[in-house]
Amino acid sequence: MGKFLNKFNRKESIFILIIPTVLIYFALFLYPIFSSLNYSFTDWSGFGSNINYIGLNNYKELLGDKTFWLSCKNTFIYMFFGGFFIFFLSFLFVFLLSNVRTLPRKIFRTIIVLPYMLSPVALANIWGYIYNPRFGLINSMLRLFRLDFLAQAWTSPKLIIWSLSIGIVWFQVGFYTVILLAASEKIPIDYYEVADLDGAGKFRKFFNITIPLITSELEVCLIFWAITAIRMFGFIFAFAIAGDPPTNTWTNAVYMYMLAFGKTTGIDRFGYASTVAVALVISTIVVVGLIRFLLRRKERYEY
Amino acid sequence: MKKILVFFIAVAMIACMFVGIGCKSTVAETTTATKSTGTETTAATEGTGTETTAAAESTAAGEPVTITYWSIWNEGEDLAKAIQQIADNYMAENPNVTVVIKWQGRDALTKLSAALKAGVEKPDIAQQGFQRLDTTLVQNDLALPLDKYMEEKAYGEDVPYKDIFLSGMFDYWKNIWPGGSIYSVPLYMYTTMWWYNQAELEKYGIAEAPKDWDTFLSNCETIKSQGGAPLILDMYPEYISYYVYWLTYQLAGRGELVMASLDPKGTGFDNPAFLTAAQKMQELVDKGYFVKGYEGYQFPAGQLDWTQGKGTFILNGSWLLTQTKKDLPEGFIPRGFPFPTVDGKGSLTDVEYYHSGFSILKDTKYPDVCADFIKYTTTEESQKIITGTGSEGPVRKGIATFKDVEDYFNSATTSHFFMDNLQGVNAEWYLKVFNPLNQQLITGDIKAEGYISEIKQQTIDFWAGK
Repeated sequence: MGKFLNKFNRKESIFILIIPTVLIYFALFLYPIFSSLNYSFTDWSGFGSNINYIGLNNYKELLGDKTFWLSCKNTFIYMFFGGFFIFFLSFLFVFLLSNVRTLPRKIFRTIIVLPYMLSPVALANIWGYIYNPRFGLINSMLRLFRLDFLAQAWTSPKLIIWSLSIGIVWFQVGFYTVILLAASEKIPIDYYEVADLDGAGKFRKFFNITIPLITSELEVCLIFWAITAIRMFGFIFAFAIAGDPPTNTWTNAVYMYMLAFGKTTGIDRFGYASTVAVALVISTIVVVGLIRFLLRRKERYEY
Repeated sequence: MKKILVFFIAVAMIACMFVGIGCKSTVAETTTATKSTGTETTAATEGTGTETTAAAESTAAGEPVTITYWSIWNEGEDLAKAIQQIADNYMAENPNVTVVIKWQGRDALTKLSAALKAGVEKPDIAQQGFQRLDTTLVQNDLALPLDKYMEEKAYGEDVPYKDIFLSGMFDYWKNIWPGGSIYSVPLYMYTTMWWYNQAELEKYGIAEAPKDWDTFLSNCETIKSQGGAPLILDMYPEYISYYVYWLTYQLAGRGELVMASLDPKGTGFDNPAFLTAAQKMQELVDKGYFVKGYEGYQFPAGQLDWTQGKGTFILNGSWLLTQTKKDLPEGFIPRGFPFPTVDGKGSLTDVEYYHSGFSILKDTKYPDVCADFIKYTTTEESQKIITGTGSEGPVRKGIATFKDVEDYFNSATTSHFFMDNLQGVNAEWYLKVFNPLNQQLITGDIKAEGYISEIKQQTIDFWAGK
């Protein structure tokens, strides 16, 4: 091999060696993406070989598709409502773990992260029972403390999307807490000591030192969460234990799946589902770009 | 040295990629290929003298044959056990045939779709509801026509195979399937009925199940006045739609809802029967007949609470009794009755069939053996195994099942397919327009007039986008 590569200069050798990776990337990532793009111009059902090219008809239909825009709205509800509470709680946990020394950090960290390690399908089943109007945990606790008037039909059509969001927050928060906690632990202690000398309290140090110095990691977390929210599927799909999930909970990913495969009811429009997939990719690029733009900084902190 | 190492790592990565692609699909669940050992039966040849099975004929030289059947059941479910027992019995009678059953769960056709696209392992026989088999396999020319086998003799019987089935079994489908050929054979049947606990109904002083809607409402009022909850359900879109569909079916007649859903101008919903149906649905909500908190009942909370007596009547498929049989307390006497007539319209003997069954994939290597196995699943013995699991309905005459289901099937003067095959003919409209509006109607978020106005407009919008 050495003799073989000696025939080439450095750049050519590098090119030869990255060919396998490029081939794998092409086969597993680029090919499916372009394949989806190709199918998005067809009316293929997903079965059989009857594939007809219909130009931009799918895209025209998508623009007027109320269910698609409803799924976009739902996706943004999960993203913003869920995201707000995920990061609020993450920062809260980071603050507590950093400042409350009596907290058993390792145990607390494990408990927070544990839901993230479980299967979304299992979690969806658990939350289905938590929300049960008659014997579920929430309504039972409310009745126990004589707060019956607060007991709700948590999975009624009006409340289900908020209830699902709470379940999503619960199992996602641990992941982001761990990342932000690790980032905060990297900050040199000198900064805090100087702040102590200046008389800064815990909150002041947290907001003026910790948060600014973990902005890079926060940006990564926000991007990751945005992508997760756009791709949100398993928990929502599994929450409808039997049969089709109600349309007022559909995200773009769920809608795409229902179009392509269905659950109890099959629409069998693989071509149109591919159009939604393309829209998903575009929305991911736009959202990620927006996050990067909003969090751009003129100066970078290095320590 | 480093360069050589890097080169070999790169080669290994490429090799892994191609090995991964070349491996058999891991889409399927664990297989349960079992063969009976020891006991041989002679049921196949008993009383039929010189007849041999297709399996024996096809493999006269004793060539072993393996056929694969993808089932919608998960291993361990009652019907899965029943089907496995049938397969074991078949293999005992046909020792050269191995039936490999892959328990794919309700996503069987989704997995089949993926397998067909990837060109990897696919079954010889697929099982699903008829409407799904139709839209995925039959209409895409992937299913084998079975007319030849319907004319042959039934397994171990001296009658044509087509004659063993309940009357009207294929009537609807012959108008749908290409060329009027038969493409699917049912394994078992479901139907939709109202279910209740006879002991509870008697407690309320109601002697018998209602046959018309006014009596039904009167029964609901009686139950409510005594502190009970007349109606209970799971807020699963399909179960909600049963209410609206059946009211519409009884008032407007067969096929009207499907035709209205296909009308791009929405004028089908100008039929006053639809408004009347919506008003009757609204009446149930306004009078508070549904159990408290019903809006939040996620499956299976509603049907579990029904077994606990929290609600009296539940409108559901006949699978309900199979699903809840382990939860029924002592003294619970499950009964069912067909959807009542409404305002003197509709029928109690226009039976709804929901067939779940088989199609043979067109490119199977062993069509005769597959057909032979399918015929075996519809023998009397096999059907008794199926109906023994609970309330699954048999597909042939003379097989006992849950009495009220049996009586309903036996009373049939006409029949129709589940929801007039709305889920097959116009699945997208059903999911995007019908279900969401029904959900609003049952929660009282929309009144009957608004419902009709919305369903008409949304139907127009739905077709405008196509």
